[in-house]
Amino acid sequence: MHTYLSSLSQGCSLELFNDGDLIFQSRGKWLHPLFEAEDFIRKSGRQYGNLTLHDSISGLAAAFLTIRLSVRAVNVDMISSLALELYRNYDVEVHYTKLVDRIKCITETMIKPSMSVEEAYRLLRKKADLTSGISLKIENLDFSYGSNKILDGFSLYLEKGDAMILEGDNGCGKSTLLRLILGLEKPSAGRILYDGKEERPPVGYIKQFSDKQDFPFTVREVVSLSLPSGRQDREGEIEVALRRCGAYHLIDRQFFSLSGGEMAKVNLARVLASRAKLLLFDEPSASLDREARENFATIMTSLSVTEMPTMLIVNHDKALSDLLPWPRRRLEGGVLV
Amino acid sequence: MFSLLLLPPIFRAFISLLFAGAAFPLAGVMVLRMNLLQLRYTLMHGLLLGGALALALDLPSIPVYVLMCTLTVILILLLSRKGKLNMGISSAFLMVLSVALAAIITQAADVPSKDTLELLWGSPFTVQTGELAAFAVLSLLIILYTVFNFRTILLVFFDRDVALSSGENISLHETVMVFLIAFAVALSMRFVGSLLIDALLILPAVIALKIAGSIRKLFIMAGLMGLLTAVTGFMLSLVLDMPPSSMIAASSALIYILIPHRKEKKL
Repeated sequence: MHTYLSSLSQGCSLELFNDGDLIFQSRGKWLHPLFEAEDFIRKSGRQYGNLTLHDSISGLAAAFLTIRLSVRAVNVDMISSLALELYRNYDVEVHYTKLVDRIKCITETMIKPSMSVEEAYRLLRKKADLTSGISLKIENLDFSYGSNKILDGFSLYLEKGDAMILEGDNGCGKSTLLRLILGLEKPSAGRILYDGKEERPPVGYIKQFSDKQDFPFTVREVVSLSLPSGRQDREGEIEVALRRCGAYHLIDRQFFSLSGGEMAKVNLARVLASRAKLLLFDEPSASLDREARENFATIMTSLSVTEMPTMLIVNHDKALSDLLPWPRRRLEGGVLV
Repeated sequence: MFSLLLLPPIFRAFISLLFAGAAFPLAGVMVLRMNLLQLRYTLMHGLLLGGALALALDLPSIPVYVLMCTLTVILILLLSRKGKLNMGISSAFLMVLSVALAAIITQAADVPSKDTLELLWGSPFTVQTGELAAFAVLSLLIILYTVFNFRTILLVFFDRDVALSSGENISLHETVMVFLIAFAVALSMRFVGSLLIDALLILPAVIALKIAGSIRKLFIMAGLMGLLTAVTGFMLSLVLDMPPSSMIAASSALIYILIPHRKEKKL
């Protein structure tokens, strides 16, 4: 008999197998065992080609998370009909002991079967408070340059782990908004709350460098400047951040001699290494060619479903917006439209 | 020549120069990156006023220079931050005012013209033991500040907006750096006079900029180049019986010309 079809070990709520060998088990509640399993797989750094799973209960939410683990077959003690249908839609082999109409859990109504796996996953991570982001609340912000009113009662709310694209024409105030969030400009009215407080936390910020400079910053130094003092294994962190952005080969190059695409990768590595909970991007694709833009979008999409910091991109590059599966809003006349 | 070094005034001058040569170019790197060339020019003019005051009132020069630099920096910061004047305008205003006052004071106090020339060219051989201690303390402060705050310095150097977004107290560090620069300018005045302060402060940093492949190496190379140009200039001045300030400046300029730009390896 297949191991995943046998009973769960005493006290366990989930067991994960690869090629029939038990590789992970959890006694956790709700959806946490599935998040733990995901964490285990990621940290192991191994490719598991034949995963099977035994779960105590599976509603729609657990089904989405299980499918995201690329599990081939599941054995569930109690399964909802919605979850059963979803597993079958994704060609996952299902065995179950008890079938119920619904699981009594808020996620069963919150999650819709029509959602994509990534959409559901993001929502569930937020619900499980497993994002690294903070909430950002902007209330009735006014800002003018002289008599030129840029923001007129601008309000915006981003939940922890939200990612959003803010579009608008040149000069409509997108970059000014970022400068206000960063505290580089002061609003004439309104306020900005970071996780409910007025005190601004460290923010990961990517801006365009329009000029080539002659100071010899190496790529290693640029990434290292975002690592807070006292962080262990600085070299390791720099390497991981650069590898993730496909820029490790540039580590000893001069930052200001790089192409626009290479600079973008290094800047992204810099903010990733900072582990900031709020990331702001000012026209990040302005100097990118098609391939570099696609790479950038891939990394951003991955970031928005893994660490999930709160992210705001101001952008008027439609090609980048089309690549990112994030909500879009438009800034016009000093307000969101 | 080495027997000359054993003479107390020359020995004190030499040791002071070793400290200044190794540390002051680090402040020079800060001047270059933070675009403070205008500030250091204003400080040089402020020091002319300080020197004129010291001569007129027969006061020790270094404390007056330090006081003058401190006041100049505070005035510039106040004018640019509170008065909303940009640093260029406030510096120009203070430069003109300083030189005018210096001219009035030297004339009114009947300061001998030979003494006023010392303000322009410096007088290292009159450095006293207390002043030597001031060189040592400031040099150590500059080196220790740079070593222990290297990441913050990197942040400030990289981009001010990115630095401010990091949550670090950037204004505080900028102020500390401006004061370190001001004090380095004040003490350099004692050695090379207002006309050649750049030889001790800026030129070694500019030479290092030609050859350094990273910011860390830039600071190290600036210190080494400062030492090299200072010692070379000082020894030449003893051998050729020429003023040390001009020899230090000439050495810096010569080394700058001789050293080629570093080329980045393409990987």
